[in-house]
Amino acid sequence: MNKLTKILYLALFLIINPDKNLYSETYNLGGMYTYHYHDGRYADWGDYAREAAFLAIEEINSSDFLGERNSLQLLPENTIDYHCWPSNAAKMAETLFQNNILILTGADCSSPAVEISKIASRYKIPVISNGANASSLSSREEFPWFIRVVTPSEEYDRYLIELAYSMGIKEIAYLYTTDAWGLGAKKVIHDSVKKRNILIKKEFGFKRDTNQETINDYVSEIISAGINNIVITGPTPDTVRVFKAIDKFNFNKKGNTIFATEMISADESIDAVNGSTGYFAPMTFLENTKELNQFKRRLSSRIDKKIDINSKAFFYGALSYDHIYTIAHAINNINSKNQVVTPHSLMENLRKVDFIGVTGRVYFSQKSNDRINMPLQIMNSHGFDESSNSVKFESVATVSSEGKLVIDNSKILLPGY
Amino acid sequence: MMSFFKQIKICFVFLLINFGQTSADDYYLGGMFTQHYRDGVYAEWGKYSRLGAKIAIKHINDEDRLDGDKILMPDENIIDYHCWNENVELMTESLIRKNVLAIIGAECSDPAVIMANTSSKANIPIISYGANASKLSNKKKFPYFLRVITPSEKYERYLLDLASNYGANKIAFFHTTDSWGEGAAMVVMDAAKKKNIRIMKTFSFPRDASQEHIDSLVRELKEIDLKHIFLTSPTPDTVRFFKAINKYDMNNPGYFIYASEMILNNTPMDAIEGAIGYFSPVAGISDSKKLDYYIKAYEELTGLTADFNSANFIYSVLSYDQVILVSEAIKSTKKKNLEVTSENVMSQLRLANFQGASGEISFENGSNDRLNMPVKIMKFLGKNDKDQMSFIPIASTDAVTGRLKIITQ
Repeated sequence: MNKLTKILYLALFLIINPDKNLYSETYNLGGMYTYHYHDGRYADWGDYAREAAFLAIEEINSSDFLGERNSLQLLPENTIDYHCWPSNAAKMAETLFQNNILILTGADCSSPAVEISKIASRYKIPVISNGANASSLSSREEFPWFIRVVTPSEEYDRYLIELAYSMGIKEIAYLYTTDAWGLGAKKVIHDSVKKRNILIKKEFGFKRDTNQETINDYVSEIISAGINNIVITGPTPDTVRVFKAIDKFNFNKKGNTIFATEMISADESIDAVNGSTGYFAPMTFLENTKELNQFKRRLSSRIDKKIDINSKAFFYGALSYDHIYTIAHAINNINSKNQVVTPHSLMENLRKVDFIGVTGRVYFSQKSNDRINMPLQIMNSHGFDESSNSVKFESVATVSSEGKLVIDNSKILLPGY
Repeated sequence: MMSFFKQIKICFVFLLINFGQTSADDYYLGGMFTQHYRDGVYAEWGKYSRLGAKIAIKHINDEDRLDGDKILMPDENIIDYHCWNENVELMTESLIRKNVLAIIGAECSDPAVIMANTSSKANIPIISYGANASKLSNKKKFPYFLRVITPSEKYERYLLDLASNYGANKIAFFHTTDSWGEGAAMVVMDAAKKKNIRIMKTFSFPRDASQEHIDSLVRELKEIDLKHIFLTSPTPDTVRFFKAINKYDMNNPGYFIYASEMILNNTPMDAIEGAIGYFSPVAGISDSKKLDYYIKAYEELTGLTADFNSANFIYSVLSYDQVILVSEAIKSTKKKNLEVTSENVMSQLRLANFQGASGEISFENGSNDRLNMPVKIMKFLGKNDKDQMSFIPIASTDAVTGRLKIITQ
C-alpha cells in the first residue's frame, strides 16, 4: 500500500467514525463487586456500588472527562460477583489481572480485599476499594498496590465506644468475627474501651458465617450474665444473626443498648429489624450538596428504585461513584504530564489525587493506603418503616473537625422505645 | 352537583366491576446461573442462557400467555454460583425463602445435585437446562428436579460411536472425579465395551486441578502410543487439558481427541491450538417456527446472527425452553382448576408435552429426563475472523433410529 492510499484509508476511517480519535485509549477496568453474599442473600449495597461504578464510567465517557475521546471500560466478563468472600478471591483477581486490566475496582469486603491485594502486588496492578476498611490494609509496605476511598476501621469503630462513653455505659459484651477485618476491629475496640475505662465483661470471637444456633448461645449467655450493652464488629450477615438472636431472646428492650459497626440493609428480615431497632452504627457523612443530589437522581433513574439517602446502599453507591472518579482524575494527571498510563504510573498518581467528590474531598495519606479526613456520622436505626417498606436510619451524631463527637440527642431512638 | 342517588349508582357499578375481576398473580422464579467460574474465568454461555430466560419471560408476559398472570425473575433472584458446590445449599435456601415458585438454571451437575436435594425438602421444583449427570435422572431420589436435556450417557456414547467409525480399537481416557465426571466415566466405559474398544489408560483428576498436574498426566500420555484420546470434564479443566496437549505438541495428524464440552470464545490461544480438530457432542436443534420466533428476539437483543453451531446460542435456546416449560405447567395447573402451588406445578411439569424452540419437549416416565433429544457431534476448527470459536457439525443422530449419522468427514 503506498503512502497516498494509506492517507486515503485513514481519511475514510475518520469520516466513517467521526467520534473516534486515532490516539484515543480505552482503559480496561476489572471489578470485584458483591451482588449476593456467600449464603445467597441479596446485598443491596453491592448492587448500588456496581451500578454507581457503571454510572460514573458512563458519565466520564459521555462528557469526555478524560479528553481525546479516551474512555474507561468495565466489561461484564471483567466484573465478578465474589460474594464478599475470601475463598478463591485471589484466583478470581488473578484471572482479571491476566485479562490485561489497568486497575481492579470494587473489592469492597476486607478479608477478600486482603487476598486480592496480595495477588495485586505480584502482578503489580493497582486495586482501589470503595469499602474495605480493615486496619491491616492501611500498610503501604504490606500492600503497595492497594488504595481505598474510605478511612480504616479504627476511625469508625472508636466512635461507637465514644458514644457509649457519652451515654454513661460502664460495661459491655463484645462480639467480633475472627477474619482479618474483625481482628483489626477488635484491636480498635480494645484500645478504645481501655481509654474510656469501659469493661468488656464478656467477649465472643467467632468465624464469619457462624451458624445461628451458636450466635443464639452467645446472646443467651450475655443475657444470663446481666449485661445490658452489646457491641458487635462483624460483617453484615453475622451482625444480622446477632440481631436475630437479640430479637429471639427479647434483649431489644428499655435499658439496653446495641452498637454495631455495620449498617443493616434496607430489606432485612423482620426479626433482624426488630432485634436491631435503636442500635447505632458509624457511617461516612455525606454533605447535602448539589452534586450529591444529582448523583442520587441519576442512580435512582438508572436502577429504577427510590433511594433513601440514609441507607447503607446509598453510602456504598456514592463511595463507589467516587472511586471510579479517583481513577479518572489520576489518569488525567498522568496524561497532563504527557506520561504513559500504565498500572505503575496509575498507582503513583492515585496517591496524589485530590478532588471534591459526591462524598466530600477525596485525597489520601502519603504514608498509608487510606483516604484522610473523611467525615463520619453515627446512624441510629428507627426500625421498620411501613411507608417505604424498609429499615429507616437517622443520623444522630457527627464528628467535628477536632475529632469530637457532636450528638443530637433529640433524634436518638433507643431499644424498647 | 351529582345527586345522591347517582353517586350510589356509580359506586355500585364500580363495585361490580371490581368484584367481577379476578386478581392477577405474579409468579416469581429464582435463578441459579453461572456468570463466572470459581476461578474467575468468564462463562460466556451463562450470559446467553440468562438472556434466553429473559426473552422467554418477556414473551410470556407481553403476549399474556398466562391470562393476566405474570412470571417474574428480578435480578436479585439470580445468583451467580460459579458452577461450584460451595454454599449452594444456602444459596438455594435463600431463594426458597423468597417464596419462589420454581428455581431455574442449575446448569452444572454437581451443584445441581445439591440444589435438587435442598429443593426436595421444600417441595420447590428445580429445572435445569444443562446439568446432564446420569444420577440426576433418578426421579425417586430427586423428585423435584427436571431437565430440558437428556443425560450424559446419551451424549458421550456417541463420541464412542464416532471413534469406532474412525477405526479406534484402543483409547486413553481422562475424566474428573466429581459426580458428573464419575457418571460420564461409567458411560464411556460401558459404551467402549459395547463397541469393543479397549480403554488402555485412564487418568482421573479432581475438578480445578492445577495446570502442572494436568501437564504431568498429558506428559505421561505422550509416552504411550494411543492416538484416540477421550476427555470428560467441565470446561475449565478441558481448557487446561488442551493447553497441555499444545505444550507437548500432541495436536498432530493421526491423533483424534474427543471431549464432552465445547470450548468458549474467551479460550486462550495455547488451548485453542491444542484443541483444533477435536470433537464434542451438543444438543441438536432443528429449524422450526418456534425457533425462528426465538431467533428474532435473540438477534434483536444481541445484535448477533444466531449461530446454530455455537454453544452460547444452543444454551440460550435451552434456557428459553426451561422457562416456557414453567409457563406451560402453570397453564395446565390453572386449566385443571388447581391452585398454582409449587407442588401442583411440579406434577404438571412432568406431564408437559409441547413444541419448544429446541424441539418437542416431553419427559420420560419415571425419570427426570427429556425424551428424544437429538444430538450433534461438532468438530472444532479454531478461531474465526470474528474472534469466535468455530465449530461445524460432522455427525447427528437419526430421530427415528437414534443412530449416529456422519454428515461429513
